[in-house]
Amino acid sequence: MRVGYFVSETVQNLRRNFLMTVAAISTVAISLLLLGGTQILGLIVNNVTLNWEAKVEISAYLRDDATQGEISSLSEEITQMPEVQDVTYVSKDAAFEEFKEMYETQPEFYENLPEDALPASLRIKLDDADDTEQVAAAIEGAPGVKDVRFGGEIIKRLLRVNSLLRTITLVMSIILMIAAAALIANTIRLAIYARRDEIGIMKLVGATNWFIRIPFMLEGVFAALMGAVAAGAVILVANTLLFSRIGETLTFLGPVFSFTSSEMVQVMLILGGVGCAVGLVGSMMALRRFLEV
Amino acid sequence: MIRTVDVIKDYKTGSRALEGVSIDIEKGEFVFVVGPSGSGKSTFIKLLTKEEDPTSGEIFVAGKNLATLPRWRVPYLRRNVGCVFQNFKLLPNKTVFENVAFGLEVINRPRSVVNKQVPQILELVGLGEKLDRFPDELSGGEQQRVSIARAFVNRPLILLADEPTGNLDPATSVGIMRLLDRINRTGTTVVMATHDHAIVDSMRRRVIELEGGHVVRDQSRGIYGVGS
Repeated sequence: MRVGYFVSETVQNLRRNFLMTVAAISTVAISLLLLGGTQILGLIVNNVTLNWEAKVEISAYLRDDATQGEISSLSEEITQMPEVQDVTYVSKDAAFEEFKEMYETQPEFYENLPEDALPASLRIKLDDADDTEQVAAAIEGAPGVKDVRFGGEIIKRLLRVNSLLRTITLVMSIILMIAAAALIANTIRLAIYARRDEIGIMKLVGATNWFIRIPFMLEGVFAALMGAVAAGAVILVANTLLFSRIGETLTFLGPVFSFTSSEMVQVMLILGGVGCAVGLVGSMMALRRFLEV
Repeated sequence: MIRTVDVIKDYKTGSRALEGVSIDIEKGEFVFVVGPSGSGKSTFIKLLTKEEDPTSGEIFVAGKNLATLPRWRVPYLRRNVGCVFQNFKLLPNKTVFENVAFGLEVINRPRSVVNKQVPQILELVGLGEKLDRFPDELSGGEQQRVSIARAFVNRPLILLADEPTGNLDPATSVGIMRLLDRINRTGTTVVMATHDHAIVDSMRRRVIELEGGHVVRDQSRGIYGVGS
């Protein structure tokens, strides 16, 4: 096969339909950007969940009148529970110190607070976040316990919102990808129309169908890959300029916006792969009935 | 070389183009297919390159049964069957050399072969001096010579010509016929559809006459019409 021939044919076709090609490339880029966005969103959700799951703990706030004996026997009892990993006692003083630390930059929050305003508590870490409600219910009402709090509900709600968001963006990107494939198909149809005389002669002298098709298929895949490259570039730039800065500025969010390079490579591969597929589907749509010798 | 058995061709519009056509053409023959417009000449030519499929009947070309020939083999069949048309079908943005070379390049002939065979064949058709001209700089007869060169450069077993002189004046047509005759003498089977009386009468070759899709005459060393 003549590689040079195919490449020059492809480039010629792309140049001939410059505007259609631009339209096709940008549609692919936008749809893949959305797809990449859902991937990134997935990574963020993953980070959030990991981050929060590590932090899922039950706080059992103790009554001010609880005796030292009550506290230690309660602590002992909870430690015995099979789901529990670790129990820490946080005294009133320690709780106040922690509060001060957390709001270091806004001293007005704690300046007027008496030092014993915050209750002492037992912080309970679990092996599995799923057991949270069960363990919390078991502790509730134990002697010396005033109140039991845990963060599980918030996580569940967050996950639900996130999955809804992901579904919406995914559906949008699929719709756009169909549009992109149709635009690519149209671009190729125009290219075929522009060269119908040549194609007629190629068939006449016995060029094989694949020989005739390959330049057009390359054209579709090339346009789609250009779109994928554009989308990938936008995501990479966003990652270095935006996400990493947000992560540096808003440190309290934890490592939510930091992605490993293998995660980014994976996203890029998905974009490239899906881009190729869109280009091929578009080409096939254009070539389906064409060339029935 | 070419054999058709009871070929019937109906078009989708319902009109019947050929009915019960059985023809045998030997290797190296020169055959005229004559008849008025709409008699089925062009349809007959199209069936031989599998551009159209018959509604019923069998067609054998160059040893291949076209009915059982898979689609992907059709291009290889066509490499053995050169085609020439009334309207030349040249690419206007390519030179004479490039037009002929195109026919070889798209069937993957190496460049060395292209560079050797194209000047040779253009010399044969009498255009050795005009390799770099574009089709619109040539006369009709010269354009048809380029088209014949393209059809024959691959040395096909069969050359099909559908009204090759239809757009040419009588003097030029004679030149084209000499060229086709020369090609025939190399052993190539030539089938030419025409309604040009003078040419058929002067060549005195086998004549197959079609009328309304039927073969009404098959005569060796014939003339255009018995009555004309």
